Amino acid sequence: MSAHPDLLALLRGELSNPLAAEAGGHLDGCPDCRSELAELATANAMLSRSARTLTARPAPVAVPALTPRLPLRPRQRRALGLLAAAAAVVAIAGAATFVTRGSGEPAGPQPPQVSATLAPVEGAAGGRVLMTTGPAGSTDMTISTRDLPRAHRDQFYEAWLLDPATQKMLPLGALGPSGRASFEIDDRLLGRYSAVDVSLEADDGDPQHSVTSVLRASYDVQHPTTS
Amino acid sequence: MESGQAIGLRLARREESALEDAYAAYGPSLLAYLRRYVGPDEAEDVLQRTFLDVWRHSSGYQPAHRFSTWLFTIAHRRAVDTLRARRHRVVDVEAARDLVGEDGRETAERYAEAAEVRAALARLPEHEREALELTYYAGLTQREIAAHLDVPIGTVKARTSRATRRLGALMRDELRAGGVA
Repeated sequence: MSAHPDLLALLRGELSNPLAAEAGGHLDGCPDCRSELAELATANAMLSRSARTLTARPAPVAVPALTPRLPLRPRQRRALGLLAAAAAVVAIAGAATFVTRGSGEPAGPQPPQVSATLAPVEGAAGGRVLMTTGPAGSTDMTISTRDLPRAHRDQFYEAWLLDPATQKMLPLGALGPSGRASFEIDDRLLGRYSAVDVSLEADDGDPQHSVTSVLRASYDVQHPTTS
Repeated sequence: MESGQAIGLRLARREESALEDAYAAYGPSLLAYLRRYVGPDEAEDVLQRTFLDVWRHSSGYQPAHRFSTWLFTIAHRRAVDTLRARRHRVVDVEAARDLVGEDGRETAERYAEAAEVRAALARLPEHEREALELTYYAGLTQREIAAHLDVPIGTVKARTSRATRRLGALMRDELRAGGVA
């Protein structure tokens, strides 16, 4: 019979496939190893489950609403997951979000521009985000949208900065009735996010992002792609 | 340190040292649970309030109940209160929904069980506890642990194996005492 295998390594998934298979074969013919494995398996199961529970990254399900950092509530995160899937479909259909360094002309007197296309999360609306260098350390951002469904009387469209990796959001403000808005944003803030999000909000006094994202654009102020 | 049940019984007799022992054995797990619901900023506060309640209601602890379940039931109640108190400031209906009802009880129970394992771990000899913590909570392989502790791999294997067996026995005793196994 082969040497007794390392049963803990087997349980922990530290053996290569051939070695794990070999250990399985050994166990078939070795009652001692089987009984030892049974003993180890119980504790291994409890320890694995305990570690999985206690080391899970805490979900920021509840945070004070008045800070500018607004992790989404789980319902919203689920909704965003679905919306992200929808956005992926849109991207495949050829309406991918892209970022361009403006005009492509040799460096002239005009301030550098970054523009990004607002792609619909769902529906057929669209728009553009234009960023130009603003007064010291700031960026002027103009958001213009088209074909957004008319908001109901008690609703409005709101623009946000978004960090897709952490779902951290910063509210910029409401879009005007023509679907446009301009903001002067601190560059340091802008650099901490990488997407612009437009959502449909109810005028209900809840400052958190609603479940309905309608437009999304990513930007990269450090490394704009030239086109 | 003794089993959860034993700590609970000493608490029921109003022994202050039992409160410290409960804090040492279950505090970190309770904190992980509370962070999940009230966020990192408030979790410490809610943990303090939880232990105030534990002390206040300690005479109500029945040894027929598992100590960890009893602790997490109190923590769960404090977390719910904290979210309720917040409602005017924040609409976190979702968090409350996740915390109450069947899901909330299940989550509290899962954390209570995880905490029991963690507390049993603290009762192992130092080298063995360390080996299991590095294996399971830090997710290292036996080879990585050997490098980390600068000891031969054979030593790591022997320690981990002994520790796993000992922990299994402790857990079985603990569950028997709680009337489960």
